[in-house]
Parts: sequence; structure tokens; C-alpha cells
Amino acid sequence: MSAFIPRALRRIGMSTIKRRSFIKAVTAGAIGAPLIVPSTVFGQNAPSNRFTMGVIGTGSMGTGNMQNFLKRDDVQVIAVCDVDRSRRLEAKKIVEDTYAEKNDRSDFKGCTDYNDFRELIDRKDIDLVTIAVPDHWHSIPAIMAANAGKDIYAEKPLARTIHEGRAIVEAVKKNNIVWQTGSWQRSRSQFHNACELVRNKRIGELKEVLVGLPTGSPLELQQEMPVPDGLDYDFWLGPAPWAPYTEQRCHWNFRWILDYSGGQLTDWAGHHCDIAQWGMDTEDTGPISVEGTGVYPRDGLWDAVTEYHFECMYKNGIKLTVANNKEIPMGAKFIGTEGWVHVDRRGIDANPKSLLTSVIGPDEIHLYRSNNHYANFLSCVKSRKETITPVETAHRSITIGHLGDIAMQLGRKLDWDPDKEKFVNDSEADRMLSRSFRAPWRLPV
Amino acid sequence: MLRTSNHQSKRYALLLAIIGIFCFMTITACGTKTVDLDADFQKILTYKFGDSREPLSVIQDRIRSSHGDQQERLNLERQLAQLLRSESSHDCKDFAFRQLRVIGTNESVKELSKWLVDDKYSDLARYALELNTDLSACKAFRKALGKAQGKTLVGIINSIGERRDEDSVKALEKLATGDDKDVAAAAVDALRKIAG
Repeated sequence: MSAFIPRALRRIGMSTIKRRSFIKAVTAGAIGAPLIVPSTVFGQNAPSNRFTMGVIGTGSMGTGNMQNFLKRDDVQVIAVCDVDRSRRLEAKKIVEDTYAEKNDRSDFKGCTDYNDFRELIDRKDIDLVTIAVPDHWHSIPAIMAANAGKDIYAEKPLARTIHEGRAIVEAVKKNNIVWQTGSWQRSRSQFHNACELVRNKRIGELKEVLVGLPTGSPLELQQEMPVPDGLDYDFWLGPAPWAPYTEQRCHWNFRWILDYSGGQLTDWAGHHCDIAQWGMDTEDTGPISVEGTGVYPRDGLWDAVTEYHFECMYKNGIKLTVANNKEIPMGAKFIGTEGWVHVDRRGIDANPKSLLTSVIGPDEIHLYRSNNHYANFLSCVKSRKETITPVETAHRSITIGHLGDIAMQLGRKLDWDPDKEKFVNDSEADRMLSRSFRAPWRLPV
Repeated sequence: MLRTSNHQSKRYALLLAIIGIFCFMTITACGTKTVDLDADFQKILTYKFGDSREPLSVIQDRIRSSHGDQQERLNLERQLAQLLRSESSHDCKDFAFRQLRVIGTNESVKELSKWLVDDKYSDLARYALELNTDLSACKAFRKALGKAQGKTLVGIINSIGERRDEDSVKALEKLATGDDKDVAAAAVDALRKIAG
């Protein structure tokens, strides 16, 4: 059989990589689809250098990530999963069409689709998983996949709550797997350069950081609708409280409902707050206090914060202010005693302008460099080194968004212990750090 | 005349005692003092998904602004519990459970504990009670272990696991060896969480 054989089988010097039993899986019939990919299609050495991947969540982000991995010769996507049948079948078609074209075989079949992510994770022949599901679903598949020894590329924000985020961190560390968070701005040069300038004190002593994130929107009242054919709605809700189906609740728009996410704030905190943490050199800690105000729609379906302003104080005296972009322009602005640096997706700006051509010398601080977020993940899977956005970093970045959200919802200043990850003498606020899961779901051990 | 008066007084005293005992039993049984709903709470008794959330937002405002005012907090907690006891809609109860998640104390534990074993509302009752640090909440979960079955029981076990309730270990050990595989798996996970 001229079948595709996962790189896993060859070990190629990766003694720490586990679960390499593709042949066993084939002989056991664990892979339903025919394995008819000629190894020649993927290049001379490709079969032994290729990782097998399962894609959990095939919405816009999940499919986007998948398409980036499909471009690579060192990955073979062999499974997709989504609770929306039409989405997962569309993803499956993209996979098979891509490999058919690469393979010059129009009848290529080699990707299995699943409704239940647990079946995908159970497959021993899958090395890597990508996870891009609604935030309220992040923690369970992440922990289960980590416990199964898969290396993981997962979307931000890390988790819906701080408690769940910490549970993911512990699972990743316990299982010694490689984790990359989809905070891909770190792999863009302008963000890297801005943070290096700050770390090397080109703006003097850092005093303040301003972070601007998108402004949210309300949505008028919605009525209950019949669940569309092919959507496993109960599974979509999963651990979240039961709620009547209405179209604007699901898929992309889950982001604007507090049961599932935290609005533009938590959708973007994993980007620009992440860059702020990188520049501030606080990636493994967090603020000691947070206070602010936000506008939460009083009516309509969406209830996550739309306009917001909150301030975080750090132990070293630096103040981080986060607000929607009506108040603070998008991106991260680092303000020091001798100048400032602003960075967003359009580029980098600074005062004085000479900073923009400043060269970081060999003896100065050089931050982790990556010019491709997906390649960085795969490179680390091979080397077993830490990615540019490891799990603890992702957890600390989104913690800022969660803390701001909690302080604004409660309407008061909160003191935070970043070591214990508890509020100081505020048991009521502590209750906002986690949520009960709808049965039968629970955080995996 | 005097004898009649004494006799009547005794009857009144007896009546008052009966009323008092009845009231005491009612309060004890419910755990939360029965209160009259004020106008804001009356407005949400029939709330259902698709209705304006504005009346709910008014109550959320009151909860937020009552921080530090123990008397008002108690009043609000009692009214939320009263919503659960009332002939209120499912979505009204849903709202009450969610608010009690943040402000619930031992005052509302007994009311919430009744809903723990109700298959329709158990998830919401756990949502309200799981983070309540009062010891009475631990007892409520333990007590519910013996009354629930199936998915409802799994949820209760999950909450006990999250609460790391060491006093539930014996009961969980028994459930971990039971015939219901889902219940047994939940009990094993809860025991692992308690063990740390």
C-alpha cells in the first residue's frame, strides 16, 4: 500500500514524541477513509517528516488555521470535527480537494469528519490538534487533548474563565506537550520590534501602556427559532447554561454573549493585551489591582461589554489602561520617560522617530523571534521547545481581559493577587473566576 | 365572666402558638424568609426569552449598587429566592439562579438545595450554589447525592469535585463502583480532584 504514513512512526530523533501507532490504527480500522495518498506526492522525504493533524472546530477561525496548515508539507490533516454538519463537511471537502490537487488524484479520500471531538482525540494516530471553538468550549477539548498527548495549536482567548485557563495551563505542563496560542501578532516583526525597543529602554523607564481594542455592538431582541438541520445545538451549548436557539447566538456571534465569551474585550485581549504584557516583561504575572467602567447592553440578545475603560496597576508601578477604540486607538502604546512606541497591525510608530531605525545590539535584550506562527508551532513540535506564545503567556494575557470584565461587571475596584490568582479579601469577586458546567460536562482531570 | 375570658385567652394563645409554629416551620422548610416581592421583582415574574431584558437590568443594577449594604443584599437575596418559590416562569427562575451565583449566602442555600435534585433546574441550581463557600452548601450537595440519578447526579458529583469537598469522599467512593458508568466516571474524577 502506497499509503501516507505519519511522521510519527519514524521518530526521527524525537524521543519525547509519543503515540506513534499509525499502522496499528490502520490495521484496527480506526481510520475510516481509504489511505490512497502516494508518498511521492508529498516529496521525497515527506511521509516520514509529516505530522498528522485533527482539526477541532471548523468555523471561520478553525478553517483559516486549517488552510494554513494545509499549505505545509510537514502536516497531513486527517480529521475534522464540528457540531455543525455543513461546516465540518465543507472543511472535509477543502482538505480532500487540497490533497487531491497536490496529489493529482481527484478521488482522494483521507479525512474523517466527526461531530464529537472526543472521538477525534481518542485517535492514537493523530499527533497534533488545532482547536478553534467558542470560548466556553475551549477548556474541555484542550485538557483532553493534552491528556492524550497531542500537541496543540489553539485559538485565543485561552479560556472563558481564569479558573479554566489555569486548568489548561496545568494540563499542558503536566503532559509536557507543545502549545501554541493563536496570538499571531507575536510573529509579526513590528510587534516584536516594538517590544524589543521597550525592553531595551529606548523610551526610558516604562511608565504607562495604553491598549485600544474594538468597540462592541448591541443587538435587538431575538425570538426563539427552530434549530437548523445538521446543528447539534445541545452539543454546541455544551457546558454553558441551556438557552433557546436563535441564529444570532451561535457561530461567530457567540463572542458577544457573556455565557460564551466576553465581547470584543476578551476577543482581542489575547492580541493587544498580549503585546502589552510582552513589552512590559510581565508575561508570567499580572496586575495587582483593576478598576473601570463599561457599557453592557441592558436589552437585546447580546450582553457582553461594548464600550469599556479599565486600569490595571502592576507591582512595579506601571499602569496599563485598556479601552475600546473610541477612546484609545487600536494597538498598544508604550509610554516611557524619554518617548513612546505605538504598534498595531498597520505598523509601528514612535517618538522620537529615530527609535524606528534603532538597532538592538548583540549584548542587548533580544526577544523570541518568529516570522510565521504556524511554522513556529511545527518547529517547536519537532524541537520540543517552547513556542512564541506558550500557554502560561496566553493565560496571563487573557487574565487581563477577564479581570477588567469582572471589575466592570461588579462596578468596583478589585485587588488581585497574581500569584494565587485570587482577589484580595473579596469572595464575591472570586466567584466570577469560574462557572459551574451544565451536566454532564466537567473540567477533565 | 372571668373564667370565660381566661378560656378565650388560652384559646387565643393556643391559636397564636399554632400560627407561630406554622410560620416557623414554613421559614425553616424554605430556609429563606418568605417576603413580598417589590415592584421591580413583580415585573419579572413572567419574563421569558425574547422579552425586553430591561426589567432584569434594573434588578442587576440594584444588586451591583448594594455591595457593602448587608441589609439591602439580604433583601435582594430573599426576593431572588422568593422568585424561585413563586409561580414564576422558567426564564425568571433562570435569572434568579444566575444572580444568586454571585450574592447567594447561607440564607438561600436551603431554597437552592431543593432545586438541586430537580432534573429541569438542577444545572441552574448548581450554577448558583457551586461557588457558595458556606458550609451549608457543602451539606446540600452531599444530601443531594442520595436523591438524584443519571445526568442530574453526574452534575451534582461534578460540583462536589469542583468544591473539593473532602467530606464527600466516602459517598463518592461508593458511587465510583456503581453500575452507572457515567456516574462512576464522574465520581472517579471528583475523587481525583479532591485528592489534588
